[in-house]
Amino acid sequence: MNRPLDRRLGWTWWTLKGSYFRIFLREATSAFILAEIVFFMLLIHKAGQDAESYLAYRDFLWHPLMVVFHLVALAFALWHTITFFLIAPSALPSQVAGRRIPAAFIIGQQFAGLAAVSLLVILWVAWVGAT
Amino acid sequence: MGRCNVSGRSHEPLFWSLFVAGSVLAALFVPALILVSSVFGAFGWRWFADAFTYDGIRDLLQHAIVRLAIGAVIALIAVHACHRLRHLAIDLHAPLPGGLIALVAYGGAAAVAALTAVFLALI
Repeated sequence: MNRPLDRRLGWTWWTLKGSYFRIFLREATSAFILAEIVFFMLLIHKAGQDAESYLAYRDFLWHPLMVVFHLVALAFALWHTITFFLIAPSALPSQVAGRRIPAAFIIGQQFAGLAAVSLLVILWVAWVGAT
Repeated sequence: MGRCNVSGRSHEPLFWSLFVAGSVLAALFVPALILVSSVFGAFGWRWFADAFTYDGIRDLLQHAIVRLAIGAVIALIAVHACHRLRHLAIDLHAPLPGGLIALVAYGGAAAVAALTAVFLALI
């Protein structure tokens, strides 16, 4: 990966070029992903306690200001997804059994996987909620 | 990512392979996880609001297989995020020893994984 490891650039290297900034954004996705994972971990924790403390925490998670944070985190999570899917063709073998695999095919498969996983999770939760 | 280790004895390959596994899971699961647990219900969409009542979430997490899967997914995503945060701290020239940054990052990931396992077991 091309990364500005040259320390002479100083810690503000990510402001120097658009390509540097995109690298910074990609690394910054981790902070939002970690935050959402910890929020979800605490939701599981509260689900193991009494209903009152669970609902208090859930209402905090669903507070309008928190929803704004979740939507920003969602944008960062999707940025991770997109950047991760787009580098896959350069990380995988370009030929299988002597035949070239088009990059667009690899990328398309991954987005199909994302759609399938998302749909399964959403349908499962909706089904549990509806029954 | 990371530096070359001249001696060849580096833990980087281990963390990197866990990182990539977590990257795949984060790419696939995190958008849907955010939407169902934190957005759709907050919008008042009935099925999702009903799925996150007290009884609803205990139904969601009822099966051992579901709990195992959620625990594994969260643990690997935590390794992914902490590994990348470690590199972000290095790249932003955090004025801390590299060993300390690594300890906090991987210690944090291990703590999230362990706590999630405990919380899932306690439901």
